[in-house]
Amino acid sequence: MLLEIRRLTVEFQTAGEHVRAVDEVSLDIGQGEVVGLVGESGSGKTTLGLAITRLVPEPPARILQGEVQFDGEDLLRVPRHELYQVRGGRIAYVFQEPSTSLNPVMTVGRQLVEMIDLHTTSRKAAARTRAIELLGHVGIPAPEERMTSYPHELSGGMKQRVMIAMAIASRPRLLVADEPTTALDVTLERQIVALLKRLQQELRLSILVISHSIHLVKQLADRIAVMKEGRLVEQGSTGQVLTQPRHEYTQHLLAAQPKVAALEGTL
Amino acid sequence: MPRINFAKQNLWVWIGATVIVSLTVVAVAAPLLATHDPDAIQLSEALLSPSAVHWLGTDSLGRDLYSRLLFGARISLLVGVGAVGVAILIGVALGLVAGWYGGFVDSLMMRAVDVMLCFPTFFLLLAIVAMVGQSVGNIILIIGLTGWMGVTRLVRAEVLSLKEREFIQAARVLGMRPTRIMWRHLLPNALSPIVVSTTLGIGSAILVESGLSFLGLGVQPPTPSWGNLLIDAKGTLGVAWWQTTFPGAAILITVLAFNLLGEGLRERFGRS
Amino acid sequence: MDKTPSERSDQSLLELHGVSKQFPYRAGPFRRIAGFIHAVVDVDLLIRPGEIVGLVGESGCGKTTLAKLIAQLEPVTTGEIRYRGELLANGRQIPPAIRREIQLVFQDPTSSLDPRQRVGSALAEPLLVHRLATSASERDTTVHRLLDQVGLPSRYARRYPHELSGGERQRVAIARALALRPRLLLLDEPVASLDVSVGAQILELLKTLHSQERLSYLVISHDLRVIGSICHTIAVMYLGRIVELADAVQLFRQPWHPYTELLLESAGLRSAGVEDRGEIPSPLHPPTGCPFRTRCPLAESLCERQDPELLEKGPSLPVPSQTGRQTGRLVACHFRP
Repeated sequence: MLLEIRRLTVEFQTAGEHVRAVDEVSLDIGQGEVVGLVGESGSGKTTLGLAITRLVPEPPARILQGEVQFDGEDLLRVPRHELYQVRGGRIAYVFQEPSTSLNPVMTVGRQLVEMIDLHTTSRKAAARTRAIELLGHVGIPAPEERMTSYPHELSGGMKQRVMIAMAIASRPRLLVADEPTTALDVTLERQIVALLKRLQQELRLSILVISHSIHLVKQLADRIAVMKEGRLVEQGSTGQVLTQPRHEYTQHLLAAQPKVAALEGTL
Repeated sequence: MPRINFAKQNLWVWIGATVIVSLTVVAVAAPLLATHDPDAIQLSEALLSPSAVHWLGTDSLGRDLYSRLLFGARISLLVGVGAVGVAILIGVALGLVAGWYGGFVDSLMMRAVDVMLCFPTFFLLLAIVAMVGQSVGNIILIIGLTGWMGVTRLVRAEVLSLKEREFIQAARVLGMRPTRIMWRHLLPNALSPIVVSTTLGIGSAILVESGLSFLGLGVQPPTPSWGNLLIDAKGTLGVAWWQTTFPGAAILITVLAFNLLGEGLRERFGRS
Repeated sequence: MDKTPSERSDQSLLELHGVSKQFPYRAGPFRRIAGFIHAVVDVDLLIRPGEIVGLVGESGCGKTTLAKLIAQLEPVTTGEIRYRGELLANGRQIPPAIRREIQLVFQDPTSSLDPRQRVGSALAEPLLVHRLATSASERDTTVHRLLDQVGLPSRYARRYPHELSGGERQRVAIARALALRPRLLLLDEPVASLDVSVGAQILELLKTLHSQERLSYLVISHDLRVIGSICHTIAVMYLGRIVELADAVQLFRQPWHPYTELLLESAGLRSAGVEDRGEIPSPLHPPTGCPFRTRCPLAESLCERQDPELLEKGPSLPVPSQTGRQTGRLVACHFRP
């Protein structure tokens, strides 16, 4: 088992109110496994993803209790300097909006090399070579030329590929992808999904995919966990949860997906 | 509506607001609070330092400084609010039109603003006052007419950003005319910077009026204005410290109060 | 979805002929015109009374621009838009009678409502502007009727938008669009900013309203499932052009255009293993000839030279179309069907 989350609880304090964004959530992610975390807005799924490496701002958030066992250590209790090595290193993140995740005044190449330098010990030339290699690996055409491009010169899809390249630069064990394709067109999403699947197999990566889109999670995940208002209400294999949901909320969520009348034969 | 939390910035807002409110009360109640007739000349009492009879002393004509200061507050506030009122009226109207219609109209107005800004305001004021005369009404008008440019730019900027918001487009689709959209939808949503601008503007106008009056080109004596109280003070600088200190302090505290309130409001609105 | 064929006449409500829209693109220190963005290219479209037409496509396909053109928020560069046969003048002045009949619901209900206006006032305002209810009490009654129609309690009239949830705000936006009793309602991504379960309720509401009032809809969405759940006829757009136009059943069961196939597969509605060779080109530099050729597995040299026209290539399925009459299917491809 790569990651074991036990009874994690995160509370937010806003204007005198205490809200439990994550309420006693327990979740496991195995080696090389892809787990999908689904929920609507306010379900706490994003907070959970951030809390794993204590990326939630404290204050206004507070991790009240719980354990996050990763590689034999409880990430909620390790000293800060170790945490910095884990973040981006052994646990990497990909977020929703590539336009704001990339530094607009640095070339793609520099940002990638910076990432490589941070988490591996390699000399400059070697880092650059690796950067070009990574860009090619994530499907960016003419990678060597792309090294000197600025983010605004790239399309949305390419920027997201660059983000993925940065995430896998340090050969992480776990990739946390929070709404990785929400800002992208659906045909682009398809390409990114294919990319993630390929990388997952080649690098034996575990992935935690967080999304409100059941369609996305269905394509990627081996197991699905459903969150509602901070609590985990159902977990199981993808096939099982989608075809035989046990919890009422899951059933409700699945039923709410718009149905194409033409295909259902209901005219 | 933003919640009230008593953060540090808000302290200054409350201080500024309190001072201004007190000042307004004092100005309004001047006749009740004055101890002497502000225009009463008593040469035998000239240049007396503060005492139990003349709380803030007297000027070179024996007039009670305290009472004159009170009535001067009226003038300062009147001119401050009046002038800013004129400036806001002009500035908001022009800003709305320039921002909404864009194109040629906008270019024309912005060039007008640029031209006006080229003139050193104070000298412009002096020149106009010399031409039209020094009544309080004129002073208000002139300060207002030379101070609308900043507001125009501010309002225009707000309109430009609000124009593309969907609720404004919705208003157009629903068939509303531009005048209605400007008055009922743009203006209420552009209020925050206008309020801030107004507050800061009053402080600024008071300062301008004081300067003009000090130079003898503003409010004419015997009507007391904090600025023209300093005219007499200039002549008696070494001898009668109270003549400089009290009007000066009044101007300082008042302008500071408006600035504190204005800046405080700006922070408050910025956060909401 | 529930109108019998006889209730839908063959007279058109809205007609677009050769509609194009270009935006100048300014760059450089002097803001010179560096090129044009062809947001909408030569679009022909027909919407009949009672029909629900869907416009589907991804970024840069021009669907939102097309909606704005129809709503008269922007003037067309070339082409005609006719409403009930009358040519809509391209300038600012649109006759109030027509203005009332074409209304728009925006994507984001948070920004489409004036944050400083109470719900009741927002609903009464169009009535006021068009003098549809002359007394305050008449307006009140209408406001309450509208709230009721969209499933909101009367007391919401006193609330401000920020006191409502996303779904409730969208209901208010729909109510406001209905206040003028329009005949054509344009819905730009009506559920995109809402949670799925809330969106489902809004779609149900839209279906109910469609059968209650004599309405036509033009639904714009990037989500094929949303389009498929409510539309009779669907137009697929790519880089400003309509590349396929068909009855919903035909489109989903037997797509003709390669891009339609790609969209269906990407949405998980089809598993044909379609090949995709690239990304959407920038609208500033569209490919010559067929806009889809950079990604199309069928592309040949012909596609580079000639932009295929949108042509009626006849119905193909023996399955009767939803409207109960022969609808020609339109597609813009050299090699399909």
